[in-house]
Amino acid sequence: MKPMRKIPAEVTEVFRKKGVFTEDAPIFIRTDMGREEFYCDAYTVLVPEGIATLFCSFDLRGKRGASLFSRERTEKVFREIEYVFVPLEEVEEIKVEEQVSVLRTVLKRKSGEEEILFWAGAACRSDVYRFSEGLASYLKEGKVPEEPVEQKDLCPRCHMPYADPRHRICKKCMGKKSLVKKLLPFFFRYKLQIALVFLSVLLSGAVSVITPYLNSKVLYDEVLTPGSSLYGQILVLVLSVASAALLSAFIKMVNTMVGAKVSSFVVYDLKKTIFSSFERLSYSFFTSRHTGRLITQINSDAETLYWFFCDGVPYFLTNILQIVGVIAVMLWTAPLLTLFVLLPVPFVFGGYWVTLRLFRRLHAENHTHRSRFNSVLSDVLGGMRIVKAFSREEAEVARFDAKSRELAGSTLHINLRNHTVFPLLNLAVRLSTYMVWGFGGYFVLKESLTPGSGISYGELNLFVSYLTMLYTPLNFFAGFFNHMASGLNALQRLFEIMDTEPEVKEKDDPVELECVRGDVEFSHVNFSYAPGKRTIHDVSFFVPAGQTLGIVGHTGAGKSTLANLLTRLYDVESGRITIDGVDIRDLSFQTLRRHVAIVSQETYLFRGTILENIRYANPEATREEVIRASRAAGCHDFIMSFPEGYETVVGFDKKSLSGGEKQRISIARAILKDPAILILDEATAAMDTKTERHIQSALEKITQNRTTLTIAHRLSTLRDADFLIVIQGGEVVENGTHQALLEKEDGVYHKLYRLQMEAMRTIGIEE
Amino acid sequence: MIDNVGSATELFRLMPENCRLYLSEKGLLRVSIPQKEYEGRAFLALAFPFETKVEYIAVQNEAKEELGMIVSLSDFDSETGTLVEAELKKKYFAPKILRITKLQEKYGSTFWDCETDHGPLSFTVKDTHRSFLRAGEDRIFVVDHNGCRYEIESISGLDKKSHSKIELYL
Repeated sequence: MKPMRKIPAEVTEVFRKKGVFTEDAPIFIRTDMGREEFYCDAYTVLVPEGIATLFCSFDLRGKRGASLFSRERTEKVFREIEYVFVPLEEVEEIKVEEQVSVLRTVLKRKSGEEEILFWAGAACRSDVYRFSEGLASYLKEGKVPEEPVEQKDLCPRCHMPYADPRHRICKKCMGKKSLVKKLLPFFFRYKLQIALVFLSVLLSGAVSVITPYLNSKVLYDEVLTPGSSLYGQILVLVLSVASAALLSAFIKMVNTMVGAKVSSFVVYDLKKTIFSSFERLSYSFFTSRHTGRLITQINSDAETLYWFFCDGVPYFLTNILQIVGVIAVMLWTAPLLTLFVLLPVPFVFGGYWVTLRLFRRLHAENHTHRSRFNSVLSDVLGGMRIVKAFSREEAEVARFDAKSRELAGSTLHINLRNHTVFPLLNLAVRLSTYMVWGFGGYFVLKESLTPGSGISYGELNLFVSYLTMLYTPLNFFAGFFNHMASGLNALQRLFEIMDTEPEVKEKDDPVELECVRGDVEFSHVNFSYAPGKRTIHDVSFFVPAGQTLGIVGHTGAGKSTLANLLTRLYDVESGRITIDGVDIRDLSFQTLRRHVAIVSQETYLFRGTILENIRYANPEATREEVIRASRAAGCHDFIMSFPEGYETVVGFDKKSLSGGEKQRISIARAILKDPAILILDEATAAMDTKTERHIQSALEKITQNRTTLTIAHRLSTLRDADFLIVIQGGEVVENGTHQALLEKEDGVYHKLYRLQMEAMRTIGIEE
Repeated sequence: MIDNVGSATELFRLMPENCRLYLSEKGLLRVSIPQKEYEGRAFLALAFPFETKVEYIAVQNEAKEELGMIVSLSDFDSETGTLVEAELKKKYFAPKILRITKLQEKYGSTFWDCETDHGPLSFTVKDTHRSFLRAGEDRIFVVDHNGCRYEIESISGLDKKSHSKIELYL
């Protein structure tokens, strides 16, 4: 059994007092609900005498006398709620009943009486199923199956359980600091360029502080003041200011160019690393996520990061330097007036902060309204045929109108706020300028009356210029924190993909097989997509090399899952699958992919020519081989009917092919791969009977002397299989040849065959 | 028009005359339907769980095959009504979120700390935008990564701080 968390000493003690010794327990489980639906701790142990459950709680309370800063300032207070014991000789079985959010574990006594043992939250689902299976095995065989010790659900660093074990991200260990740490290697590749950006930021800061000094203080107090050393040197001043402006422009240009280049490369590297992660990840990762969302996520997150690093970070540094420089020069020029200038800064900054938060909310609302509006639009346009067929135009117009109104209202709201809040803020900034003019004017007058007691006109002008330089960065900072938050979130999402561990992994030293005969064996294979919901149960069969196995069963019986397991899209839970006697988990991915090909009902053609699509399986194939494969798959003739032949471009907005045509191309693709083992998973299901028959004869040629697993709905497809297995509820319920199975009159296969033949006859097709 | 499509659409309407719902000694719901020669455990499922909890209640056997349908709970006496309502409450158990104390987005998942009618609860939601089930204009269910549901009875009824935490995902 998988070791669950330890039983706390208090619980062990209660059990001991009741005569239940937990050290004798082959299995135990901790769940999170009581006998009724309320949250509490529940420990259920299986001991040789019976099943004991203790419902209890550990309430947290402050420890008396402990210091507020002490680590042990709280203590857990144990409280026993209920104890239940059922002798083992009375237990028939334990059933797990799924509710919408929670699970109910029902104990059935040998007397037939049923009772609720405990409820459990969905988080305990896999443990509950493991417990009930363990108990079933204990009741039957007197022992619990051994399972390898796994600690996959604990963070290796802090040993805390993951919030989601399938998504091994530790909330505690993955802070923003570690994010930056992870990102740094991407930047370190561009050390020189980054050093250049920093240097240019420094220079740019210095130039921006010097310029107002030149065109205010030097102009008024030196160049225009008779008697000073620079009096009349207008040309020198103009040239200096122009040079500073030129230098500033040049630095900014270098800064922007290098910054943009580094950001582009870093984002490119990130995207590349993420795409490589996609290749590494297991199929289950993609089935549990929406593909469109993944695409948007990568694109928009990478964009967000690009703008954050390109626009955000360099300007952040420039602005910081600018503020520090400006305040330093101001303090040096007139400390008292500087204080007056700085006085309203916190209020203005606070104003910007609050405003931006408000706008963030308004924009989020607007985004929601826009999404709803867009989904109504795409709904109606996509379903126009149905709208017209059911004469629902008016209702759809009304639906569209409602969403459109909401969007318009929200946009108007933003615009109104925009035109009231920002002018008010600007007024506040201007007021502080007026304050500077007022106090500054006073100091200038004072200076003219008593030289040395105030400031000059040039210095006052300098202050006003600096004031603008002080408030512009404040506006930037208030917005920057929002950008930073979204930038870090984008980073988190991107690293999520990179850090996810693939569920199906290649062995460290995998077996490479050059030639494969094609013996396939499933031995006691068990598998479930979701915990407790077993899809494949104890399936065993052997297909000798070169033979064809037909797999029959209802929809959802688990037929395609067998194909998924053989191709290692998923790994078996227990049991093994071998190819030529080697466990497929020991084989390299390359060996497996080279020797096993699948043609499924869902065909996918990549954007490109038919030739490229067929060659996808074997890019080295000659043109003649492609044509031969196409002829075998029965697609040569229709390909040749296109003006561009094999160079016809398929895909969206280009040449559209029918389902049957696409299927035949994908069969050609599989033939070209020349695999030792071929899986045909409902390969002809999308075709009409005539086309199916046409392809069937082609498939018969291909499958000769090749191990083939044919999964089919239509039993007529499987008549020529060497052997058949019938799957029902994930189990093999019948096996034998077509003839032998038909002779079993009460058999599943016989019934299915009869039903299908009758259906075919009804539509006028005789087998 | 639906009347013309034959018996395939007919509901086996459960009424006090043709069925009896009761609790076993150990508190499990059972049903007896003489017409179908069935007496055993009863499992309930709502056809329109967001719209109504007192109408169109399917009564199923252990294999989840429908035995019949309670079209309106008002057809039955109050005692049966209470039994059915209690069973449905258990089946559709979803703690009600009263206040969101903390909502943090990390690594594409959101981590929630909430005050609920069942005490403080913490849970993780993956792909948050797609994990909200809308049960009306103002009512939603948040589905966590385990599939457990949490109800927000009224989004507009939430306090300002809680509301501002989730509005980005609504």
